[in-house]
Amino acid sequence: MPMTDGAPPILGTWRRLYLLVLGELLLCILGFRLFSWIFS
Amino acid sequence: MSRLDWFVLGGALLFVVCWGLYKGRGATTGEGYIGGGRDHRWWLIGLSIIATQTSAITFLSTPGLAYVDGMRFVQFYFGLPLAAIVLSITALPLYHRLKVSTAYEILEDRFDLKTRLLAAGLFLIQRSLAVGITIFAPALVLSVLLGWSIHANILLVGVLVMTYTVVGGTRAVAWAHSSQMVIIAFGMILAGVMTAHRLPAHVSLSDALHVAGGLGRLNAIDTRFDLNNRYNLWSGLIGGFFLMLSYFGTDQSQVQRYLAGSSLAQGRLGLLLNGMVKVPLQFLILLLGVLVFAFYQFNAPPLFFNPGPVKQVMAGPDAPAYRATEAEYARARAVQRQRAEAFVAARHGGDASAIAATKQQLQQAQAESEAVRVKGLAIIEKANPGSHPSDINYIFLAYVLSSLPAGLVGLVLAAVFSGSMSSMSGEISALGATTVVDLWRRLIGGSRGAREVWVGRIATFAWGCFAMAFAEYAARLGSLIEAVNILGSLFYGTILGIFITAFYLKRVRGGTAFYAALAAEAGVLLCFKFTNISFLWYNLIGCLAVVGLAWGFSWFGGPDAVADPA
Repeated sequence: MPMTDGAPPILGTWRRLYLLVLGELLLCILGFRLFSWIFS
Repeated sequence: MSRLDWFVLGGALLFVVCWGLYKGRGATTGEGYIGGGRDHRWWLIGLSIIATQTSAITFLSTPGLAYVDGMRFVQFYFGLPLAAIVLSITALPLYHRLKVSTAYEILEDRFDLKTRLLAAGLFLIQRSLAVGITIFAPALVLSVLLGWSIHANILLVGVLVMTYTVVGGTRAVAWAHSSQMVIIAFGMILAGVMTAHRLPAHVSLSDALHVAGGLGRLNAIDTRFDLNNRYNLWSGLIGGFFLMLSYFGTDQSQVQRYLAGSSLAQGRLGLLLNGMVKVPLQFLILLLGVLVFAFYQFNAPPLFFNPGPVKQVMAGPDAPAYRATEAEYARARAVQRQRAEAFVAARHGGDASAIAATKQQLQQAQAESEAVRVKGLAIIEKANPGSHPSDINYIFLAYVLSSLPAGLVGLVLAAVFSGSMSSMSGEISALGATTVVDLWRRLIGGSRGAREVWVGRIATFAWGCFAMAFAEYAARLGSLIEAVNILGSLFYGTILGIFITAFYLKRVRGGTAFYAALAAEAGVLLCFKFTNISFLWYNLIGCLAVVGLAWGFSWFGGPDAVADPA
């Protein structure tokens, strides 16, 4: 199905997609910190 | 290298070239050649963006950096997802609305021709030098592993890349990128799995990570704010954000990738895919280096992984001293190995006090080994005056060649070559596009028809040749990845400042922006020459200097500096 420029194909709105990207970055930072802490 | 390795390496490279040629056929107009037909889907754009950044340097230096310095380099990429979001909201809609072929076109609409040419010129200078460094990396690989001449290696990579890039343009580059990313992913994953598998039978992955962590190699996050500290959370989030904003928003080698999208949504999704994938990807490549570090806690590493300077020492009067230091290092590493085994045994025993005691002993042994290595480095430096000996780029390759099985060596080398080819193709394609659109089409008034395809091919070919020529000089630079990043950071801040001024400072006119950019660039170069400020901050400094000066000039520079109210 062709996509319109108005909405992304997942999550419905661009704002939600941006929040997903931000959330993943935050998870990465916290996850890396936890990873360092567990193995040090 | 075994016959199987040669078969895997040769087959992979041949497939990439043929795939690029096949998918890139049929460009009959300048727009088709430069814009790739503007029909790319989000996943192709995303892969192409990732592949353009993923150079052979990624595989050579990054695991070596983790081996020597731990995982803190991952913080360098924290600004990337933020930049991808900001660009998705601001720059991409503008580029699509104005239907530009290069990022620099909009600067003439907003300012004037000389500002557009300044930004395009800065891009051409820094990117053509950077691509030279990029193709030097695999040349170094083969010269060390197989004894081929560096000149022949550079020529081989250059010819392979130019075959499909010159013929097929942006479309060929994007499809070749997709095949290269598959090879890179396979090479990296299998190398990691095999490294974990080659640890001693009684050492689990968890044990190996505890050994590496105990010796300070898992320090991924550093929250201390320090302008002179190259990689910490803040330099990555703030300095890295401005670097990535400039790289993905104004560097034609990236802009060209998402402008080839069939719609604004496809371009945005491709860029956001990159924003989500890059940080975990870098983490995994660094983890590969950490696993190699753990592997060498249970196997004897050489004193210095770079055989070139060692040969020079062995041919001189310091050879006996170096041999003695090597023997001393081997003894120190044997002790370190015993301590690592004791630490693992204590972990298996589960006694907390024994674990703490053996860990401390292991750290002590590591410090003693490192002291011997520093002694060895001093001998190497004495034999190679002013060379600042570094073996970061050799560690991973030396490990692959000596410890991985036949077939996998060829696959890892294919991944290294794929990385080098993917970044070189994306970059010379963008250099060619900028030359055609911002110089030939604008200054000479060339047409957009079939003739422009040939002008594009000639420009791409010429930039490829220039990059190969510059690669000859790359051997004189230090750690490759940092050289490329430092080079970019000297110019990116200024270019980003010009674009931010264009987007947000409506009262600033062309002449003001142009002279503000020149002054800011001079300031960045002075900072580089006379201060110890970490290079990531140059992106912020250059950008703020352009914006601040342009804004200041617009208030104090007389009527010429201020835009007409209309």
